[in-house]
Amino acid sequence: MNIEDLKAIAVFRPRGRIFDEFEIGEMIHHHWGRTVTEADAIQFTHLTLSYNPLYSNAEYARAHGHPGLVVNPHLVFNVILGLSVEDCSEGIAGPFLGVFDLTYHQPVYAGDTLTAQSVTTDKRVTDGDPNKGVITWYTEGFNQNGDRVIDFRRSNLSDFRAASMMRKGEW
Amino acid sequence: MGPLARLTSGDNYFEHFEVGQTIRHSRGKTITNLENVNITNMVMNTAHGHFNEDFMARYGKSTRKSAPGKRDSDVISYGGVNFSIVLGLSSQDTIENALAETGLDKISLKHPVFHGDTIYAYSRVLEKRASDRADAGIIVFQHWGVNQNDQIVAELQRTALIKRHSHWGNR
Repeated sequence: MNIEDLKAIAVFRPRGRIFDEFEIGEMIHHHWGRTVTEADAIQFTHLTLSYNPLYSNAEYARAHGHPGLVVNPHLVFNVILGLSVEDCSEGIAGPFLGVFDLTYHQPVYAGDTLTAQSVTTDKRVTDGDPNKGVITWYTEGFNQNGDRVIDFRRSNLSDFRAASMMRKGEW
Repeated sequence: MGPLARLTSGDNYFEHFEVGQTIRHSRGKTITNLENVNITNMVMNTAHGHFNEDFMARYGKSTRKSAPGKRDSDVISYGGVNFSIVLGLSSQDTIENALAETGLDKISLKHPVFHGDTIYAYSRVLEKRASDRADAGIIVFQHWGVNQNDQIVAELQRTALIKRHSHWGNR
């Protein structure tokens, strides 16, 4: 098949939701989950230059009452946010604005499996520009025992025109 | 100094911090594929504006307008990577002797970061208070991430439970 024919018959399969598709109060259980390995934890810790030996020295961590390395909590945040992206921010076409009220409730250890869920808590069209909006979600992350390890609120901007182009695959 | 205390600095225990103390940290880090694309992908953040150069060359015009300049790459570094590097660059001077990082707040991503940009970090002690355990206290830090052009790219607050030298300095 030549490329013109292929493009003519292929149907674009978009990913992500647009602004209008979010409902306040709706709970979304996010896909996949992720087991965090010791290699993940060490790599993240050292690429970000996070120097506390709890995150890099298992003996030191054990001397502080942990069963082994403590997974750098900011990796936990990034995994939980990452799992939420397709359902929350991927399709709305706008920058990540910020995070509030983030709590690390308990340590995560290598081998733990994380899952995420979010509730849409706020969405509004911006005062200055009717073609943009802001959406806020409340997101929680859990380990394999169902213990909540993190929660936070985060907001992203949406550019409605850009989101519409992305939805149609026009780029 | 015992086998635990000699693994970390001796001047950043709870007693050593003063409210208002403001630190310019010694190291910076240039953001490249290794930080942005690697961490974005490893945490399963699916938004391809962080890892598809072709898409961002076609679509990222509004972002480039907000941050003009010549650059070799159009993808935007994921904000979670940017502020994790601010947390890392500031970690040795602030939370190296933390028992736990317990939370983050008021995270604001103020300016896009592109591959090739360099992030530096500044911190200030906002609060210092006792905790429910005798051997450690709570410090709240304000952190700033600044790029090579002195633009603030991220601001955030971090709360940590930090060892007291009186209890841990000789362990």
